[in-house]
Formats: sequence, structure tokens, C-alpha cells
Amino acid sequence: MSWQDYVDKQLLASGFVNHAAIIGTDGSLWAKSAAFNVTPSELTTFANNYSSPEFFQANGLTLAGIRFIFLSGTDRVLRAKKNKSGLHCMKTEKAIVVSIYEEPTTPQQAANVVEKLGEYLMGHGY
Amino acid sequence: MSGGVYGGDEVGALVFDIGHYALRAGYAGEDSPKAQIPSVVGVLEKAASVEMMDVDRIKEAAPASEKKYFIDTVALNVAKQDLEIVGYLKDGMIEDWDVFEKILNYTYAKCIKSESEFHPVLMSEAPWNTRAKREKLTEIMFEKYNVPAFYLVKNAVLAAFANGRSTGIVVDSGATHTSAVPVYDGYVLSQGIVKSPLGGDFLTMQCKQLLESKDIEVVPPYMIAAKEAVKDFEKPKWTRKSNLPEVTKSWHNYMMKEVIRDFQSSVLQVADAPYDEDAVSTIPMVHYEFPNGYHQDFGCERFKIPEALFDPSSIKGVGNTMLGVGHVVTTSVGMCDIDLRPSLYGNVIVTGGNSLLLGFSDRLNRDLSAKTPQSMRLKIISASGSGERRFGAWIGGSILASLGSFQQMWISKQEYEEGGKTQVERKCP
Repeated sequence: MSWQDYVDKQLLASGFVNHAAIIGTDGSLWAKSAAFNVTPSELTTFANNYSSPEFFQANGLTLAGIRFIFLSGTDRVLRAKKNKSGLHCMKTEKAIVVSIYEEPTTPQQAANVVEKLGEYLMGHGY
Repeated sequence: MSGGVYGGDEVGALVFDIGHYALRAGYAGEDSPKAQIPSVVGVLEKAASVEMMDVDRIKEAAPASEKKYFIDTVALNVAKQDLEIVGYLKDGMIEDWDVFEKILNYTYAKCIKSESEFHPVLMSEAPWNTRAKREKLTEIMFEKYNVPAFYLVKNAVLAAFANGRSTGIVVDSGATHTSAVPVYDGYVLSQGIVKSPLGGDFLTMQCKQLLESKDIEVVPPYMIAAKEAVKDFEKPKWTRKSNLPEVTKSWHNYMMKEVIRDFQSSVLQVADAPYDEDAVSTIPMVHYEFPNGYHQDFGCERFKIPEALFDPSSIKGVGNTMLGVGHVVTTSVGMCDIDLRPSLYGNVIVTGGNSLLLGFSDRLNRDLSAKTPQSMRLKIISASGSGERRFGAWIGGSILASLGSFQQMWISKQEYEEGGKTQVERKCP
């Protein structure tokens, strides 16, 4: 499967994720869903600060022009929210799975999809 | 998702709210908890020779250590030789799991009067609870109590729900501390939590010092056989019970604390402006009678003690190292995303038993309006009834667990069996 397939057939096909991307830990874009207009500079900032939430706490978290409010995060999982849409990300060894969901999807449903893919990737050395 | 399993609103879910003063337990959907059980237990450590009176205790003496537990107010308040008082919480988190289980057993047997495997359980936790403790709790609930479904929510979030908000800053003044917790859309922003150790227990300690300095002897009711009416400031005339067993220090202190707590809630009041001796002396005094019959009026002291909550510099020997309630709130908001601040100041939710002190929210309003920028709209939200304030988090849990849309959120037993205890991090952020 190509990276694009993971985005389309694993994340979006679940019905719980509206926009998704898989990026490298350096911020390089590997694959993204069609309508997800994320810019390279947003991704670089995002990836560089992934393990230091202090930055997001003060400045918010901007992806595809939406400024999300950072909720909580560990070194793997990161959660953020903006009104009706939410952001759930999981970092694996070499990649970061980014996904945006919208109500009525619950954060739990999105988390399930994203973290399952994340665990699968980690199980394969990524 | 387990939505199909819990289709209706009526699932007989139980709500437990764990606080430092008491554990609150009851059915979701009701407006107040069924039981409030003190968060301390009496432990008797010796061979079981004492005659058993199996009304209020669980017979579960572990064979290795002959310990007997005395749980709930009725069993606790009887004077017994060698009965030690111990708590099971530390800093809002469960520390002694054995005692915690004993209390849960008691709650199921005596208050809920039902089996744990029939009721989903929603439990509150401290916003700073650690991952290890959350997982352990999940494990205990599923493995030992066999609950069909379980959910953990931060108590600050529940308190916000109880006041009809999902975003705001929750000012919780409880027994051991006062904290400000920012909540956004039902999530705790953990980076913005600010805690101060100035809470109800601190005031109790200050009251104790005041009474000692005034040479007022505090005698817990368990020692008193009879008392006579005396004039105020007169030496009390009371007779001591003759057949008192030799009680432990911890138990005696606990009983003393109960008396002082009563004094504290009946007498203390927060001044509506920073403490000023002249202004305060014009306010009528308050009369208080101690259990041994001694009584007198209390004047400016009753304002001076709670002043420390708002202006810790008035505490002797502490100086400026601690934050007053107003400062706790502004510091916490200052650590949050700038876009979020207006909605936090617009929803300052006051909860916790200690916030029931007369004048608490008025003073907080005054202190905050002096500190917040002019452009911010400040609104203090607090339930007016004392029950709503004391049981704030419990009521929030009761509302949440009975919502139709919440039913898909539970960690079901099946999910736990498939995913293990780490499910709690995924499902209850």
C-alpha cells in the first residue's frame, strides 16, 4: 500500500476522519487527503514542536489555516480543538499521522482510528 | 462502538466523586448523591477479639494482617481503644488502594445495596491524576468489581457541566487546596492548572490556633456527659463521661477537627473588601456555643482568618510565597492560549465546599475585576444552593452519565478485554 492509500483507505474510509495527512517527523509531506490545504511551513512548525507542547499552548496550533487550541499531549498523542472540529495526531517512529474530525464524530472515535493506524505503522518499523 | 448496547438513557449508572473530605456516591440522573462517606477510615490493628456488631462494617479481615476497618460516620464516631484514623488520598489522588477498595465495598453493600456488575460506573478524578493511577483504577473496576462499563472524568469538567458550561475556568476550593483549572469544550488544559494549598483544612488549622490563643478549650462531644448553661465568657461547667476508652491521638484530633469545622462554617465570613479593622468592627458579631457549653461573640477574628485565602501575606511566617485565590485564577488564565482568555474570564465557575464561606464569590468577583483587563467581560458563575456547590462535581457526573449522547463514550467491558487498561487514555482524555 502507498502512503496515499493509508490516508484514503484507512483514515478517511473509516467515516470518522474528515481530513488527514501522514508526514515525516521532519515535517515533509508524505501523503494527504485531497481537500486538506496544509502548507509546508505549517507542517515544519508543527513537526518541530511536536514534543514541546509549551509552544502550542502559547501560540495555538495552525494547520490548513485553522488555529486549533491545544488540549493535551504526550510524546506520542496530541489533541487539539477548534469549535466543532478537532485534531488528533499520533507520532510513530518515523511519521506523524494527522487527522481532523468534525462533529458529530466524537474524539474517542477519531482517536481509535488514528491510534490503530499509528500502532500498525509502529509494528512495521515506521 | 458500544452504542448499541446502551441505547437508552436509563442504564442505572453509578456516579462516584472522590474528594478529600468525602466520597460521594449515587445514581446518575438523580439530583443529589445517595451517600456521602468521609474520606477517612478507622483502622483497628489487632487480633479480632473485640465483639462484632456487624451493622456498619465489612467483615473482610485479611488473614495476614488482622486489620479491621471502620467506615462511615456512624462507625467512625464511636470512641474505641486503639482506633487509628487514616486517609487514602494524597493530593487528590488515590494513594492507599486497600482502603479505597474497602470503602467501595462498603458503598456497594450499604449505600447502593446492589451488585457492582449491574451498573456502569462514572468516576471523578483530580485533573492532575497520573496515567499509572488511572490505569490501575480502570483495572480494579473491571477486574475486581466486574463493572459492565466505566468512565473517568476530571472533576473540574464535571463541575463545569453541573453549571451548564463546557468552557470556563473552574475555581475549586475544597478541603486540602484551592485550584483553578481551565476547561475548553470539556477538556482540561493541563498546562494551565494552578494549585494553592490554602483550603478548608488550612482555615481549620488557623481557627484552632485562634481558639488556643484565646484559651478556649475545644472539647469534642464524645467526652461530654452533661453540661450546664453558663453566661458568655464564663468558664463552662460540664462533666466528663466516665467510661471513655483510651483513644488514639489521631482519632481525638479527628473529633476535634469536626468541632472546629462546625465553628468554621458557622462563624467565618469573607470581608467584601480587603481586610480593614475599622470597617469590619461595625459588622454585627456572631455568637457561637461550643459543645461543652462555653459561648461568646466573635467579631473581627471571623473576617481575619478567611482573609488569608485572598491575601496570603497576612499569614504569619508564610510571607508572599503563596497565591491568593484571585491570583490563582489570573495566573492560570495567563498560561492559556490568548484566544481562549475571554471565554475563560466570562465563565469563572466557583465550586467546592470551602467556597460556601459567606462572601467567598463576592470577594472573588471584586478581586478579579481589579485584576482583569477592562476589555474582558468577567462573570462569576456559582450555584446558589449549598448542596449544588458541595456536590458540584457529583451533579455534573449525574447529568453527564444520564445523557443519551454520552452512552457511546463508555469504555465497555468488551473494549477493556480487547484493548486492556490503556483504553482509559484513549477514551477518557
